[in-house]
Amino acid sequence: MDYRAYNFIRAARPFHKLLQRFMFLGLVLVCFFIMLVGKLDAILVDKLRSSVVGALIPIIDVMSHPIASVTEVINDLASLPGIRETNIKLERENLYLRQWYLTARKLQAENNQLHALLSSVSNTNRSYITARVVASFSGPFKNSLIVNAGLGQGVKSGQAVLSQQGLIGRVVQVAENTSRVLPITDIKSRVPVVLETNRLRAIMVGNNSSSPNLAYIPQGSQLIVGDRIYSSGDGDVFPAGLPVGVILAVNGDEASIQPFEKFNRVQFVRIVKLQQPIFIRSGPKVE
Amino acid sequence: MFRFNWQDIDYAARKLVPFFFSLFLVLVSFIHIPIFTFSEIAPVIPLVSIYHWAVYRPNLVPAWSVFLLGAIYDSLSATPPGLYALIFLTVYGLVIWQRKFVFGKNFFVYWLGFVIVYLLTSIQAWVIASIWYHSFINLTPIVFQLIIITGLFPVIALISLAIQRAFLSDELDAS
Repeated sequence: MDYRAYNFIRAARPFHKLLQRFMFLGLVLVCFFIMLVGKLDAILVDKLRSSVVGALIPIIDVMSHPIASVTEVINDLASLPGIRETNIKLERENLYLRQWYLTARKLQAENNQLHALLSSVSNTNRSYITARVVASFSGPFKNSLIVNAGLGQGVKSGQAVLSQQGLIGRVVQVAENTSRVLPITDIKSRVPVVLETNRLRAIMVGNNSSSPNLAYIPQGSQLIVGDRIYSSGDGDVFPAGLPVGVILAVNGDEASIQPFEKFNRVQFVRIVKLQQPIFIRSGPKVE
Repeated sequence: MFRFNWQDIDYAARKLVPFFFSLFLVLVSFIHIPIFTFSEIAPVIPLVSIYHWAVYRPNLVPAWSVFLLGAIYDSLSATPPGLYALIFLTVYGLVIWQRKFVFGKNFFVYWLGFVIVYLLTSIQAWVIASIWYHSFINLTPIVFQLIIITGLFPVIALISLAIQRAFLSDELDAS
């Protein structure tokens, strides 16, 4: 190495160390500053996050392909030993569901007639966007899912997200081709719900564990373990009637819920696109 | 005049290995694996890599690169902004400060050092998150996280050591 350059590096070393030390302290201060900005202007932080997510998700997606293949093989192998029992169980369930199908058709026809008579507002005018889960995060401080549908596919912030079994969360952040879903188990999640048996209304509060709590239950209410819970539609955040879970345990006036679906087991989700309610009018059409 | 030198490019690329390996672990943490259901206890894997490089090659992972990794982790996880950037920096700072206690010691001391650092940063994260959410976060998942990361540590640390031997010769160690 050039002797002059070597001398320069030697002379600059203490300054370099000092700079490094100040840089460390400076970066720690920057972290606290970011936290402060996050509290004051959450939208700005969300925008920045969306752009980072949009840039990195394609890489995570590519990295996840081998894991998806391995998962599929493991699931296939795991299901092989019980395939005969599963088949018998499904045949029985099929018979049972056929009977229910006929009953449901009859009830639907009746329901439509009554709606038409009353000129009532239809609240089931929904369509869905199906998306694949491309990334997920679960930790003691936050749970979230990232799906491969965004603004370009018609996803909007606040839309409910379903799995095959029931409600799993709502969209909280939307980028061009990705969206972030806040699971119902997250500490920031609040879902207005209604109990199936006694039609009691309450709020399901996430706690970052797999079993959220039921809050704001009227005092002295009878809570039954195993009772099903649906979204109540209060506050217009979630559509009414989406299956949420069952009561897992009751302790006095408190209850914990087992959601129908664990968000981290889901591969595909359906995002509910709510359309404007339409009035069903009875009588002849006026030209 | 500028001369294109493959040796310089090779040298520069090797210096970037610790950062890119840590970035790889950051991205791996977000891969969706539907067969695992231990939702709330998945540990922060990139901390092992940051710990390793801060012990063995601190000159190759400057504080700003650790901050950048933490900021990326923050963005992808949607945790309180700046939380993981601060945790990553704390691990880095603690290791640089007390490096003499683990550098060149046997593997168990190196392992124990990580467990202590992880425990301290978990407490730090718990305090900040509890203030952020205005409620006490459940401590049980944090304890399970610590147990899982203690078990996973040798695997990731040995991979880091193998990478170090393969790509980073001793002449790069300016520490």
